[in-house]
Amino acid sequence: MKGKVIVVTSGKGGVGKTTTSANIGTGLALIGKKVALVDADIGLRNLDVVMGLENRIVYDLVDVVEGNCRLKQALIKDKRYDGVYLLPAAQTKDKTAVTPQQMKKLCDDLRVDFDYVIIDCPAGIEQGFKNAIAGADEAVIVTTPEVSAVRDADRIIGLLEAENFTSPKLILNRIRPSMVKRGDMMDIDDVIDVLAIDLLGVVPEDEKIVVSTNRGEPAVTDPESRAGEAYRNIARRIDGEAVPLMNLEVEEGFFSKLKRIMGLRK
Amino acid sequence: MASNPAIIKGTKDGLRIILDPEIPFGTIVSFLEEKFQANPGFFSGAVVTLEYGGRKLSREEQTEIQELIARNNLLLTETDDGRDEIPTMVKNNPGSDETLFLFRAVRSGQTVTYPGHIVVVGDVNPGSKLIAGGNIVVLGNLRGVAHAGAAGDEGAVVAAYRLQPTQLRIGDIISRPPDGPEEESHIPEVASIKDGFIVIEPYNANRSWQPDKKSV
Repeated sequence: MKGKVIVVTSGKGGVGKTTTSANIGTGLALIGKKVALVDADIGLRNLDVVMGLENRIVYDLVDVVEGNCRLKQALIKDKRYDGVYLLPAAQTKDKTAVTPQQMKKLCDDLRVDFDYVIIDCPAGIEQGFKNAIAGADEAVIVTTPEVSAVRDADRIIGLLEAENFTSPKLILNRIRPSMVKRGDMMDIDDVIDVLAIDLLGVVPEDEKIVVSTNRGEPAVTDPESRAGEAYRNIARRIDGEAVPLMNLEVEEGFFSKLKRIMGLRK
Repeated sequence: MASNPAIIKGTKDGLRIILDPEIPFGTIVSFLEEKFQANPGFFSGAVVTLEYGGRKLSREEQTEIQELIARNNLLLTETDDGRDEIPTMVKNNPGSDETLFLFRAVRSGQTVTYPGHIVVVGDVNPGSKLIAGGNIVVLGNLRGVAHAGAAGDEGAVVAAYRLQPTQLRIGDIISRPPDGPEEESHIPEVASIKDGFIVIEPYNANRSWQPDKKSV
């Protein structure tokens, strides 16, 4: 059965595309799928760092496309998580080093051996973006609940719709329920009101993401991480399971905290 | 590797013609003329978006290509050249009474241009632009830029279920929302020019609303 190629994009930089790609890719492997993670951010590669695999890079995507090596030689098998493979980007070239046609061929070669191919798209709408979407079947758009990110996401959705991506899905990242409650942050409905696409998941702001990035261990593998839990759910949804949205309101009120400290509740 | 002088793509909203940025203009014109003549049945009546592909066309070139399209019976609805001027097509067809209906959202970065009236059944998101020679009606949220009466008609109106544009233009007059905390409008509103200013009034279905036009 042919694998599915999903591009993770956003328009705006810094909203969590790489983190999302690493976590949903690893999340899918944790439920038994064989996943290829492709870093399409040539020149500013990050996916290798977030996955903790930078020391194992010998060949990269540009080498494969230029014929300097075979695809299998460039793919790094993650020894910690069964089923995760990484195709890193080149750090010394830039986005003109690859064409959309080459990316499409690469994706077609990958989908033969993998259940899912997750493409980490660079920020922007230029060549890097065009390359990243060239071989993809579906698109996942990541945005944070901020006006500027939503504006850029809307632009990207418009571009994707013009390229016949019929049903892009949304991940709302770094949401802070306490700020939403105070009215200081957009909530899910405000974002969907503008973007009008299906919601794939909501990921809460979580300090553990910073820790996991620095350690090179995706938060999805950490049972204590709220963001990790959200990503685990998203992976299951991608695989077709209907998983209800997490209850994000677990932030403790004062009395709750006091009771807990006094031993009156767990 | 030879590239096509122009790429013609089919989308669910009609055809998209994307001009090659490098190939000489004359070659592109001949190429398109040939294509249209070869398949009159297919192209006739088709709705077309023209993308200049990043090349700068002179006024003459723009007119030439727009006339080429019109001559072959295609309906040009958008020219995507990212420039902020009144598109030639609108200037050249003042008083057009045709209406363009869009049954989709207009997303950030998109521009819809039409010499007549534009009706959008959907939202117009911030970062997008509607430019009409006639009136603009949005059955949804209008949050982008709307320019009605773009060929100079100050009797044109802009109406929306929720009128929250980043900028409103009617004829030659530009107006923007007041600074300060946003007052959300929860009722349909109509913007028109009265005494030289853009005025926004609630749309009341009971009251018969008439534009301030001399000839109706």
